[in-house]
Amino acid sequence: MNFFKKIRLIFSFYNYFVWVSVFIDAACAYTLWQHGISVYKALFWLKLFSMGASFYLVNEYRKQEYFYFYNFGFSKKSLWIITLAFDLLLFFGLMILACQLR
Amino acid sequence: MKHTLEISGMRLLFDERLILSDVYMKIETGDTVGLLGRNGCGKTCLMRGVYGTLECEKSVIIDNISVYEAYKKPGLIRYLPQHHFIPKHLTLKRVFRDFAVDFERFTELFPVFQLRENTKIGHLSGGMHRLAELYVIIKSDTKFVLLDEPFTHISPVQIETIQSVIGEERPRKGFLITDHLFKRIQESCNRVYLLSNGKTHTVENDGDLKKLGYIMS
Repeated sequence: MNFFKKIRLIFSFYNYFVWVSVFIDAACAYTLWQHGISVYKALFWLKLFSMGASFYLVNEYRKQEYFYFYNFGFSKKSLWIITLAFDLLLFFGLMILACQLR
Repeated sequence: MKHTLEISGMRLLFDERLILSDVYMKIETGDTVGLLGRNGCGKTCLMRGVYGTLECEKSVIIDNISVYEAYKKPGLIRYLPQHHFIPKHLTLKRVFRDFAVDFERFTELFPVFQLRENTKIGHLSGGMHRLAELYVIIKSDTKFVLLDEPFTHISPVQIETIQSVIGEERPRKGFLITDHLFKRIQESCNRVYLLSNGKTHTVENDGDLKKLGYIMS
């Protein structure tokens, strides 16, 4: 399987929670921009909580659809590690941006 | 080239209840093997065990190589679960592209899908959804195909078409199919196993099914 197809499939999986995630990232970035670095710790825990909630909700309501990704050789673990790592990087990136724009 | 899938030594326990204990099956390219069994006897567990998404003691050998998590090699096995598995937000076009299956040919066989390339899977009826996922699994490039109750929600005329598609693919693949309509399994498969008390039994005729308690008369 070529690299771009893998990326496309992983993004399809990320699609389950990407919009919620982007909304939370944007809200966190705005809060950091408003109140400064003092609120960072709370925002980080909020982000971790939202990631845990995404994990729970997908496992609870979309677990049958894992078979789509299994059929392309992805394990549940690999799907979550890749998407959550990317999601966290996006969060850190937006936090840094919000700090610099302040 | 002929490929072989051999399953043996499968053992699965759920809360100290023995689900699978003595399973032996052999599938070769060109085979359509039927797997019958009462509800809850472990057919799905057996398939998922072979596929590698359910942990259990087993020996799965493909072309003389032992494989534990077969699903990680899509070129070896593909699996159709008994429930809908395609994410609802994907379009038909995207699904056919992912599985590298020709959508045009699909619409020739099932005209109801014509001009619906950009329809999201979630907007299809249950039967159409099932038909699309069944077709892509059967046609995708792999050596063995596991179909768990593939004909649920599908009308008889479409089942006949799907059976002809399986026939087309048989020279290149081996199929393992479970279904409760045992007459259809007996007619379309070249070998039938019955799973009973955790063991697989070879079935030759209705008499065997009666003896093993699968049918009454």
